[in-house]
Amino acid sequence: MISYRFLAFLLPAACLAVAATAILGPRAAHAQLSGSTTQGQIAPIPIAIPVFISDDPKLGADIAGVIAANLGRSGLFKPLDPASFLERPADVNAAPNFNNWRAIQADAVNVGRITRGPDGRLVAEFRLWDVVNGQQKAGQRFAAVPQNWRRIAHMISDIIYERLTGEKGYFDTRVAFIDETGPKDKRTKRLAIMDQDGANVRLLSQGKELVLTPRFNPVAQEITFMAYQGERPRVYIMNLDTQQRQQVGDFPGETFAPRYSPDGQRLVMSVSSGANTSIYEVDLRSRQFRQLTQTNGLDTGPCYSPDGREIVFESDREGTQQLYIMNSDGSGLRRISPQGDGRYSTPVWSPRGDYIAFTKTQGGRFMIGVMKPDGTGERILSSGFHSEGPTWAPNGRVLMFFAEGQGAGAGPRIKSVDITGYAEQVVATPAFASDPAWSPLLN
Amino acid sequence: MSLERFRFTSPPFSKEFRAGERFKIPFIETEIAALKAKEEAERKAAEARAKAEAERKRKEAEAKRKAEELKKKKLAEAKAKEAEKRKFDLDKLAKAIDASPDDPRALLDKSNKPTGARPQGDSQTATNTGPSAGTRDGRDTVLSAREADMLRGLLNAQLARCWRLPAGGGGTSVPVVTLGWNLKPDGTLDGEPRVVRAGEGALVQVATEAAIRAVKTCVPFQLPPDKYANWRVITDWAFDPSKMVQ
Repeated sequence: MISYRFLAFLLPAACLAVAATAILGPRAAHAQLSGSTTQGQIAPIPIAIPVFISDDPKLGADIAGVIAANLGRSGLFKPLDPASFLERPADVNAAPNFNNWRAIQADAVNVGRITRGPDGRLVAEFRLWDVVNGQQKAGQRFAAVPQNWRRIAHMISDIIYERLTGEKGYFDTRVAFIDETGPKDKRTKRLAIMDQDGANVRLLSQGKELVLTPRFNPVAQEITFMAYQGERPRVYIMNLDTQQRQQVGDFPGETFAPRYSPDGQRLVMSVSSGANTSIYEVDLRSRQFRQLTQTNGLDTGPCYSPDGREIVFESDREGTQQLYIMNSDGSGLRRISPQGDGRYSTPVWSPRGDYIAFTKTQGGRFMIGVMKPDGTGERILSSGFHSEGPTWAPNGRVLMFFAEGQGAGAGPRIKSVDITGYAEQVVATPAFASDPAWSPLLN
Repeated sequence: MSLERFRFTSPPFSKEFRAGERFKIPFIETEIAALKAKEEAERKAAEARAKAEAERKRKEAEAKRKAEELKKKKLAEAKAKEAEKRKFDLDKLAKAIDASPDDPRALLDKSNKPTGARPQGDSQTATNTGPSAGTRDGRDTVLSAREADMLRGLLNAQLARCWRLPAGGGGTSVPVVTLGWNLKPDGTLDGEPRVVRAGEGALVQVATEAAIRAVKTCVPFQLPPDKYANWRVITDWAFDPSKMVQ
């Protein structure tokens, strides 16, 4: 009897289920929508950076200002005008009222506080908030001596940049360059170093000699450069902390265009002997050297690939300056720059490995561009009266180079440009400046 | 008159009579039979009455339902007209999307199908075809391929404006992120978007956040209200920047 009753219950239920499948099945399938979006907006991220909460209002405003300027210069962010802010954060540990920041269309808001500890050191804290999702994206605390307040701002900028773009930042970095003062026909050129935003310029040489092409050691507080010793150019290494310098090798001819290997253990540079200039590799520990190229021409501007296995350089062996790549032992030589009437020089391999930046001259114009290591995908990022000498930010997204000005009172200025060719701007230096070289990340 | 009442009114039986089944009293037997027949007749009459009543009620309900349906239909029609005024004309929209150069998705989806005007509902995916497909009251969830394309195109056009590519959009391999989300009839989110798939690489987190931000900043979606059943659930929507990065 029970089994009958059970069946009697089950049967209509089963029928219903079948009916439901028949009726609802196809409906459910059609009531779902799928698709894709392949076109989006390429626009900077709107971010609000309110003045840091502080007993020292100037310091609070300065630190926020440095961060906003860093992010704005990158071209990937649009720092919003503080005058538009509807709220002034008063507590670094409390979530802001997101509606106030949504109202001004901020995607992110960075709330910070800077205080002086009992030991006189500055203590900075910040929290980065995602306004759309109402979540904290980053938060950190730094302590530093007061004169390093800009570095705190750069480190915070790097964290914001990395958290919101997914790529490493490059703000806590320095740039070595040649500071140029005096009239055009009698320039004083001095080796100098500054923060990537042009602040904290420090002169490293007195201007009694001509110095050129400073390059950072990727792993140590050290630079290499070329300086004229009398009439002869020589390659030197300088310790940035002690400012002591030493000559690299004792070659009879001129040495110039030095650059470190990625591990900082070797240098590649040009060594001239008579009519020919070849590329040499120097082991900085053993001081042993090795000739990598041999040709009737000028081989110069060597630069290692990030993995240290290959070297790109320029050579006029075929008549005009072109770009070549060889293995780091000198084998496997091949030209990468395209055939045509363009001349290519000063190649620099991106720290990411994906591009080689160069100076191109064609039809009397100077251009800064990039191409893939196989020579394809050439793209001009900037062109001008006389632009030259690109150098990569450590994240491989931004380049600096220098551009000569036209006219009697004009001089060279350092400019920066994004890898996509956007956001070209002059880096503010106290005097004329040329030949920039970007350092690796300091932190 | 019921059997119970009869028992009370009948002369009292002796104990033996009540106890024994063999004793039969013809008068009483006949009376019981007559009563049973009468009762049967009454039952049948009541049944007939109930049947008639049920039929009447059914007819009434039917009429009411029809009236309501008519009302609903009129309302839906009025709504549809209103929607039409708000440029929700399906064909117009579909045409606009076809013609829109910044909406390659709609074109891509149709690239392998014959172009030009086709009768609505003429598709392999629709189980109801002809005039019954895609009725305007929003209950019909069977969607023609063209209508599905139209909805996709509408969503895509809105998302393309809201989706800001991660990492400045260039130079790196940004992974494809696929989201799903549910919508309320007013076009706002019903719950949080779901991550269906997110590729690999350093930029996954940023890419996922960018996709979620796109959906969240795009609400309320402007979609035809009469097709709500079809856009209530977005099962999987890919945010694919591969065609945009250099």
